[in-house]
Amino acid sequence: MTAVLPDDGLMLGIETSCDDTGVAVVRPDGEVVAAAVASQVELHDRYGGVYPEMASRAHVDAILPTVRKVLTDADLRPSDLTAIGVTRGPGLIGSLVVGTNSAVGLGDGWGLPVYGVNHLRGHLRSADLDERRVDYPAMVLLVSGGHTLLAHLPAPGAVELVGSTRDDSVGEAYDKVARMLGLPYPGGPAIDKLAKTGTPDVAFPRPAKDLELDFSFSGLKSSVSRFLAANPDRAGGSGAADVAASFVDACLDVLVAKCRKALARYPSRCLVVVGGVAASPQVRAAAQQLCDEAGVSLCLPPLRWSTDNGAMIGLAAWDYLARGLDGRPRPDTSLTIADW
Amino acid sequence: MTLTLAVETSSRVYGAALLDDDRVLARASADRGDPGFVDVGVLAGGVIRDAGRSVADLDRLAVDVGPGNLASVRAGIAYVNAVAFARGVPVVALDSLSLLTTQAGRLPALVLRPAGGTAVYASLTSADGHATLRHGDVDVVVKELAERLAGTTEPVALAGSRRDYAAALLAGHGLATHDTGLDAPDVDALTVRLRAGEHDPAVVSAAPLTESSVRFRGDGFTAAREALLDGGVALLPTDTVYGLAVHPRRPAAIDTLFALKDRPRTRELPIMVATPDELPALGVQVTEAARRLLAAFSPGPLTVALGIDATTAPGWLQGRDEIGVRVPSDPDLRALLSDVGPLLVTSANAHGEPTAQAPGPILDQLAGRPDAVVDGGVRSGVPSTVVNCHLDVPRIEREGAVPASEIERVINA
Repeated sequence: MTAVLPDDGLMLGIETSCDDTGVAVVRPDGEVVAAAVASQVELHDRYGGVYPEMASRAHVDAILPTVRKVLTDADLRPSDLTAIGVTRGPGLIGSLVVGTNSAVGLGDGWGLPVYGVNHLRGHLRSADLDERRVDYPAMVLLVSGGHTLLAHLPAPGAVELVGSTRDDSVGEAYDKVARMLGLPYPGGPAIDKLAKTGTPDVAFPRPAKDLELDFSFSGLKSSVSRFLAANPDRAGGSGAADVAASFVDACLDVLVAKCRKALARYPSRCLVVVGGVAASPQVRAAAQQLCDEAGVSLCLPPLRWSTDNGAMIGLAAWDYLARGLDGRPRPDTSLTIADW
Repeated sequence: MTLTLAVETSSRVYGAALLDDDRVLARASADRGDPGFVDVGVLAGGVIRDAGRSVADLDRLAVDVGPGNLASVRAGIAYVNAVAFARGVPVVALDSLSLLTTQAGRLPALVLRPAGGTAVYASLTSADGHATLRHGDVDVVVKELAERLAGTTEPVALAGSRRDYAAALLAGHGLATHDTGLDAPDVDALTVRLRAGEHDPAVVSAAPLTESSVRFRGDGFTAAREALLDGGVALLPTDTVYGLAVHPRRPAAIDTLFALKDRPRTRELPIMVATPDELPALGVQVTEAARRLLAAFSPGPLTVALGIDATTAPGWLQGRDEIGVRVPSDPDLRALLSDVGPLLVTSANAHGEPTAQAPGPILDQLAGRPDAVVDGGVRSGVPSTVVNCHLDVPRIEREGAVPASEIERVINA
């Protein structure tokens, strides 16, 4: 069934599944009227990762001021809104309950319906923010701190999971290797920057070669750790840059090989790369090269919509509204990409 | 007639009650583990409907802010804060330790709630009603509190977690105990306290009570809180530079502050508040430009100068026609501001000197020692951007951490 979208209206999207509080107002066609993200990067940098208790408390502090900021920026009153969409999972339970219960409270207070949105469907829809880009059928690579997966989209709204990670996400591997190299949290941008100055001279393994379309990154992470233990002089200076370049190279090889295999197996007119790791310039360049070679188009969300944000949740919430998937959002940490 | 929605979610049994003044109109509770249970909003909506009222009728909300099960406590706070925000009504925050003490019904009372591993949150309320809060290892905390009870002959009422363990520890100190059998507070404890009026004033939004809350801290922030309330000067880390703070209701402290800076009392001090929502009650006139700036940059490194309406301003603001206002983003400092109210704060430097970035060099520079010093490590040293919004056309009086171009973008948007 093709979803029927209303022509206009304003959806308030709220995202709190991990460590960023994202809020946005989005129209059904993907136009982002206003958006803001309250980041906890500074808080978690002190610890080299996300601490759920602090993340949850920071969401409590940030969520309503961020909602107010977005409405002020867009010069909107609550009565201008059509509905609210909020991430219901997957994610950290302490963070999800702040988002869903805040959204329900706002919905009760303003008299608006509230839709609980699957965070992963939000990422899928991020490629259509600002302008419509996705051409169906499409193959999606979702790469972020929490997720690494391949999904096939035969038509809008239809999702088939075709590959996922058996252990760590690629973002997790980035963060952990960044910590080994003494780089700040979040590790992705720091490693990418350092890798550009290095030479990939360490032959780290290309894991998961025999896992069909599934991924595995924990072996790669361990081999970096073993390498640094055996070569402590390579943990800093130009040595670290070479290690970072070698690590990024190994990750890219795996991601590209799996995408190539997936594109060959499932009819696709485009490859969509979404999630926080899609902000990596190296990943973008490698994906472009693969698409040129495979003869499909590449769909990338603008950089600001690659990482967790409220706009992608707002856009996905229109799909829920169109399908009549009303209901009180209840946090669910176990959602998969095929779930609504 | 005050219609209050009370919400309690600090353990697996969630509760909600609707009160009209001190009359309970409806009450409901549910186990969040039960099939069919959705969330606190459904429970709250149910009691409002049962009483034939609507969310739009609410005058205020009340909520248990913990400590308790992390996700459960946050569920209640998030829902209550959002309804209060959407309706523009205030929130009464009550902590689960004092609620359990209320339910214990007798003093002295020792209440424990789990804090992960062997750690606990503890509250000891003595026979005269004075409460001491602690967070830490159960053995250390209970031992310290037992020493405070030395010589008590009345049995100590025990509520919350680890009651048997605490009873054994207290017995080791020669103290008798009474087991109340209470594991966690319920919504009825909130209604008892609301009806008795035994609670802090309602605030704009409730913050969870965790070990980072000022009230648990046996460290610098607790000392600063005491010093400020006693009319002293505190050296505090902010998100920009270190500041010297005094409580506005202790005016003599202002002279001490200027003496520390070795400067005559020439100018009026700006204030810091926990949230911009406190400003109208202080008689501070928030202009449209200020509202936009505060929405965009608060909490954060922005100070706005605003006019004061003498008819609503408190006594300590009488005689002033303008005031600088800032909402700092440092969470510990905001917790302190939520606790003691607005503070007068100025940069911690001697007259004509730059503000040093850490307490050591600051103390070397000052002409004397503040009554309390909170060491927050090295701070940026870049001050806030000051925008005067009390003029017909807002003017940037000092460009600090927020670039002038950002200020202009927001004002002209």
